[in-house]
Amino acid sequence: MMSRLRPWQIAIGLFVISALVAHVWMLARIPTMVMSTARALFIENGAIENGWSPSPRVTPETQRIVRPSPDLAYSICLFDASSGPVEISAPAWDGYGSLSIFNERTDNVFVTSLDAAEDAPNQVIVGPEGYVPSPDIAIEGEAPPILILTGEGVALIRRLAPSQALHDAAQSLVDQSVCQPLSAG
Amino acid sequence: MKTLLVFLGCILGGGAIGLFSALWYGGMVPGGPRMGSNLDVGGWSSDWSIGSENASPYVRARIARFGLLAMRKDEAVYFGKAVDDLGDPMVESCTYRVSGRSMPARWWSITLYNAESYLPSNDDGALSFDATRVPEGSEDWSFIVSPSAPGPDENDVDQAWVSSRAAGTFDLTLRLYSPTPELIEHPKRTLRSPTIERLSCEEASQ
Repeated sequence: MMSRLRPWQIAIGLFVISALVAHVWMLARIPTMVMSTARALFIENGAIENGWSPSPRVTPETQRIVRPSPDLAYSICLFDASSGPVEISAPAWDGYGSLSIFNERTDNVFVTSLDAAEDAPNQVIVGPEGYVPSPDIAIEGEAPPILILTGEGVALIRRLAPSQALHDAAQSLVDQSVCQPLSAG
Repeated sequence: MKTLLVFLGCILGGGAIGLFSALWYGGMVPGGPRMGSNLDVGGWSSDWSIGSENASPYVRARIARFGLLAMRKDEAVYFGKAVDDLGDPMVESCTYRVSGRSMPARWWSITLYNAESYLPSNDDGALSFDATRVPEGSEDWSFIVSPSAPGPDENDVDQAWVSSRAAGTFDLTLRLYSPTPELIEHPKRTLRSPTIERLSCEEASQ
């Protein structure tokens, strides 16, 4: 028969269990906390929700997140797919370019090339869990990929633009890019 | 009553240590571990799980802190190095030559960041070196990292420059966008890692 635990054994057990639970809980929360802070920072610096916001050319003065590349032109869209599908697209670029989507845990859940030399899809529909595209919603051209994502997300366009002229040209494409609830189109 | 207070103290103490250790291992506390580094090629470290949903909680936390919005490896891979070829930390007071050959990617760049993972606060307009600056028709490239612009080399040819002014202790990040399948599959065999040669150091002022 197992002997009764002594108080000091219980104390050590409580200490270890508390440490483990707190460690795992905090570790799992760090990416969400960082993404939430970054999202607030983007909004504070003029980024809008459900729309593309071109970032100024990356310099020591304009950098907003860690390790930005000064050779790339960035545009960002903060969206929330929890209440309905969001359409996200960006035109191709003559050079390296990509459209990527991150969930609220910072996972890179979607990426496609915007390089005009590669014939990759440059449009994606992001929908909440259980989303099935309605046949009433007409989308021109080939059916875009569907990405299921619960909650908030961040879409990011990167285009190779190592000079001011190329950066300006890249950012002028924002007018041709889409990041909005599908029903608003 | 005294025993209950001891139990409560153990719960609070354990919880505090658990929280702090998670923040430390997650890279949120100064001095803690930085980017993931389960891959080393010639001293340049990377982690192939960056951006992936399969990344461990530790890698995920550190990437969120030091490389937020990094892409997964089929689109971009990232290598970092904070020491020169002799293993010494790279510092603003020294001059380095970074050299390499063609890279297995659609486009690549090497950028200098300070110890806080930000671009150094200088207005030199020389923050990085990228594939578009490699001389046409050449496989080889090199650039100088120093706090002021280097003069021409011994052959009177202008040298490419990345400024370390106001960087303090710094590191370099190598980005390879649209990497070749061979690089993803066999990184150690495919990547010819750039060398970082320390050329000189300024004497510390007394």
